[in-house]
Formats: sequence, C-alpha cells, structure tokens
Amino acid sequence: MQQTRWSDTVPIFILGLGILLVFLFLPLAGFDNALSIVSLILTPLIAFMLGIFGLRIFGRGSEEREDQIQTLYLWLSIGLLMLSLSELATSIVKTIQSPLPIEVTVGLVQMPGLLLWGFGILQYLRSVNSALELLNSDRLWSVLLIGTTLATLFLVVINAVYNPLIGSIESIVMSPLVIGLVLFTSVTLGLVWIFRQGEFAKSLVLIFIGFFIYLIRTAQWALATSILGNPSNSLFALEAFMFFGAAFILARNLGNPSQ
Amino acid sequence: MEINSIYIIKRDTGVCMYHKDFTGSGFDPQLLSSFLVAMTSFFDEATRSLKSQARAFEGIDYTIVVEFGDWTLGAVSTTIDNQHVRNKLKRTVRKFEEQFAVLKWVELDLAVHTRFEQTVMNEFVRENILPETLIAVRPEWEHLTRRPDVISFLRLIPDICSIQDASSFLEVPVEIAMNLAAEALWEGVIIVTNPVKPDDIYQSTSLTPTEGALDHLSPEAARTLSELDGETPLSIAAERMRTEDLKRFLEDVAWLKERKMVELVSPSQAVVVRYSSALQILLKRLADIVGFVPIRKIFLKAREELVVHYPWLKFVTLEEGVDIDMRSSLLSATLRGSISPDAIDDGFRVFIQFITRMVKDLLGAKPVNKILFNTKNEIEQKFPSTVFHIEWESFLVRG
Repeated sequence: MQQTRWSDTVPIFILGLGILLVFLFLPLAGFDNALSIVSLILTPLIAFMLGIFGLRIFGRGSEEREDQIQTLYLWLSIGLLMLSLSELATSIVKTIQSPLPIEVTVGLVQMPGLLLWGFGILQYLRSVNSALELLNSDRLWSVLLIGTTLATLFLVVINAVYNPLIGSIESIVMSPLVIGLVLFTSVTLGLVWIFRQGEFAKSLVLIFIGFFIYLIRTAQWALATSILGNPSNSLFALEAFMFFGAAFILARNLGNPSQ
Repeated sequence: MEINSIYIIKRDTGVCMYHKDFTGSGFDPQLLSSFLVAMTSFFDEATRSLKSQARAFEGIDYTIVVEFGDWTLGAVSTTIDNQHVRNKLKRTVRKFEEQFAVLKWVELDLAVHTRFEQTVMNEFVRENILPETLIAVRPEWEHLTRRPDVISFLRLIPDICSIQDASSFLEVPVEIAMNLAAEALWEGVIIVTNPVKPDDIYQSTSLTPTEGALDHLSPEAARTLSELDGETPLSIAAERMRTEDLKRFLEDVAWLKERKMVELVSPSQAVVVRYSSALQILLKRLADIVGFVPIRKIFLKAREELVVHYPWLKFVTLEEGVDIDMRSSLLSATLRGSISPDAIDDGFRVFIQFITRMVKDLLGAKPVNKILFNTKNEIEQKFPSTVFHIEWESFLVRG
C-alpha cells in the first residue's frame, strides 16, 4: 500500500517554485515583455493541465461516485478546468489589446460546457470499449487525439484562406468547438450503430440528434459572421437542448421490464 | 483415492453381500458387517426411532459412512465424509437393491461380485480418472490381474505416463484409455495421481497449524497456505502471490495436499466459484455499458422468475453496484456438498440465459454476444481447462 507522503508532491512544488523564481527574476532582469508572455501562456495552461490531471485520478470508476472525498476532488478538478478557460480569455484580451469579438467571448464561455460533454462522452466510450474490446485502447486514444488536432488545424487554415472575414482569433477559438462537436456526434453515431438493435439505442439516438443540431448551430457561428443571437440560431440550440432532455427521460426507465 | 473400501450388508442377517477393498488393508467384511448391524440397531433401540439414524463411525484417519436402503445397508470407509460421497453410496445401494432384489427373500449365489463390479467402478473409480491423470504401473503387476484387456493395455504403455499420453500411444480415443485405466485401477495394478491443475480450487484445512507442522513448511508453502481460501482458483492465487513460476507453485500446493494441509473443495463449490466469476465479469461488462441501475433491475427480475425452480438462487444477491454476494447459507451448503453440482450448474446456466435474453432487448444481439465472448476469454485465463464446463453457446442470443 502506498502511503501519503509529502515527497510525492515534490515535482509539483518544484514547478511552483520554479514559476515563482521566474516571476521574480524576469522583472529584475528587465524582461517585462517576456514575463507577460510567460504569464499569459502559463496561467491557463497550468490550470488546464492540473484540471485534467485531477479528472484522470478522480473521474474514473463510477463505483467511487458515492465517495464524498472523491467527489470533492472531482469538482475541484472541474473547477480548475473552467478557471483555465477564463484565464485563457484574459490572455486573449491582453494579447489583442481590445475587447473581444462577441463570438469569441461566447465561444469561450461555451467551452466548459462542451468540455464536460466531451469528458462524459469519451469516458463512456472508454468504458464501452473496455467491455466490448473493440479496439486497442491506446490506439483508440492516439487516433482520436491526433485526428482532432489535425482536423482543428485544418479548419483554422481553411478559414484563414477561404473566409478571411472571420478574424484569426475567432477562428482559433471556434474551430476546436466545431471539431469537438463533430467528434462527439460521430462517437454517438458509432454507439447508436453498435447498439442499433436494442432499446438502449433509443436514448443514444436522441443524444446524437442533440449533438448534431448543436453542431449545426456552432458551425454557423464558426463559418459565418454576425449570426449570433439570430432567432433561427437560438432555435437550433433550443431544439438540441430538448433532445437531451428527452434522452434523460428515456434513460431513466432503462432496464424496466417491457410491457 | 478417497474411498478405502465399500461394503453392502443385508440388514436383518448382518451378512456382507458385497465388498470391495481398494487399499489392501480393509477390515474383514464379515466382522465389520456384524459390527455395523449391531451398532445401528443399538442406535435405533436407544433413540426409539423407526428410521435408522446412524450416519458415520469415525476413526482417526478414516470415516465409515453409512447409508440405508430398504433391506440393505451400504458402508464406505473413506477419508472424507461429505454429501458427495453419501450420494454416491446411496445410488450404489439403490442399484444393488434393484439388481439383486431376489436376495431380500432367499440366499442364492448370484455372482454378485462380478455382476455388480461395473456399477461400483462407475460410481467410485471412474471419477478419479481424468485425461491428465498420471498413472504409474505397479511392479510385478502381471501376478495381480487376469483381465486380458488390462494386461494388453499395461503391456503397451510406458510405466509412468498420463492417460492422454497412453491414448495417443495406443492410438485409441481418450475415453477408451480412461475406461481401461479405471479397470486397471480396480484391479489394483496401477497407482493414479491427479496432478494439481491451475483451475483447481483448494482450501486450507489448517489455518492455525500446530507448532510442529509449521517447522517443515517452507516460507513459500506457508504463504501459499494463506492464499487458498476455497474461492480462488490456483491460477489467480499464483497471480496474487506474484509467483513467477506457476509450476513451482503447483508443486507447493501438491506438497501441502499430500500433508493434508489443503484440500480440494467440493465439486459443487468449484461449480459455484466458476459460475459466479463468470456471472460477475458478465455483469460488470454489461454495467460498463448500460450502467448499474438497469443491470441490477435485470438481475433481480431474472432471479425473481427463477427462484421458484431454484430456491437457492435467493442466496445469490447483489451488494453495491453489481458485486455479487453469495450468502453463507449457500456457501456452506456447497462446502458440505449438500447441494449437487448439477443443480448449481443448471440453475446458474438458466440464470445467465435469462439475463442475456433480457439484456438483448436493451443492447441488441451482437453486442451481447461479443460481451459473452470477451467474458469467456477472461474466464479462460482463470480456468484454462474447465472454462468449457460452462455452456457458453447456450447463452448466445439470436438477433
């Protein structure tokens, strides 16, 4: 049995001390610009990394859901992730030295929600994959990671070339959202296909449709300007939310005897 | 072999009508039969019971187990007294009474010994012979048997070999080699040892051994002793002990077994462990997909439907999540052997069938079959040679 030892946290403390030293040293040495760049990058990055780290430790194993201390750490990690996004917003505002375009602000606010969706979907995918043993799990994750990164870059480039009306910042913020939703939609579609013969697919279909509609809505933002807040755009979002609600109701009665 | 000798005695006269001794050091049959009849009638008198109540007479390293028929009394001298042995004895007594019914009324020479041989061989000898059993031929065996098939069998095979080797050596099916070996064992011309297999489930009989016994115990064997809890196959126990050499581990267990510090669990217990591991893995995998709540509902529903036919399923319950818990009533029944392996096998099979049929409605046929396939593979790791004692095909669902 491993013990709780202070020494285990040494790497994190060294990192913290290192950052502290850098922040003390750079202004003394006169590198003010470098300091601001470092802080702009590091703050959201560290919050994001530690958030992910916490989720990896405490987000697994649904048998631990009843465990209150696990839940505390889980929420702390989720909080870190959200904070990382607000730090990211600060960094962006600081960089472009002007108020953010409204799409970017809204996009950043959306990100935590989509991140939570993403964790849910991907964790479930892992669980299904471990039960059905469809693909080697390491390969699955590397394919997903590389695929989404490449697709995001590709979308940014496409936007820059064919759609110069959209600012580069907007493009960088919105592209991951779109690609993330494409990923969720295709994963759910895959799951629906796997369980197509069973009752269980019904709730998954609803989630799939929800994702799909939401994807259309977000894609409209990413690919066209000044559509935010249009009634039609809001309608898409509304309908998507409805489908999720319907999925909850179906999932609630799962496994009840049929008749 | 756990049976030393078997006797069938006529109750009203106390005459031993049939006996067979497997060790060469049994009691004088007529002496034993008069003793048993006297003792049992004494018990009946003392307790004023109409039904005979004696069940066993115990020595230090043997027990004489007694079972009553209508007009006969069966007794075996055995090293272990459990329900399994009793059931075999009961069947033997019943068959004897059917086959030689006329002896109840008259005394005739019906060549009982030769005619009843096959029944006793099937009940008590045949089950000791498995394809992987090692047989060692006794020296001077030619003087001990006259059976032509046994003689030709022993002439052709090496002095020490497994049944499987013997069958491939003689180019006959394993079944035939097993039958021949049973006959040879019956004649007392071979010695059989069943090697310890990774699937076997052992339990420690002496968790608090006496000082003297511990002195001879190697540290590995002592650690082994504490891992054999009667619920874990040796393959998993070896894994838990992080032993690198499975063969060495099995030898340790064989060493302990020889010294009677561990014993093989009853056949029913083995079936329970095998099936409950399979069910556990299956439920876990299903719950990974649809969650605990639906799987719990399905489990409880299936159990409710089956409890009428298999009342013992009531003792198979779920703890937190989908963790299966066997109530101690069921476990002690299986340890004593008072519930037959077939009943357990049958019940669990139908139970899992019910569950897979119900889950099929949720998930569709293909994923369920894939999960069954994965479960089978996982069980195969734990129970490499007995995995197919579970009828996996019968669980498969059709779309």
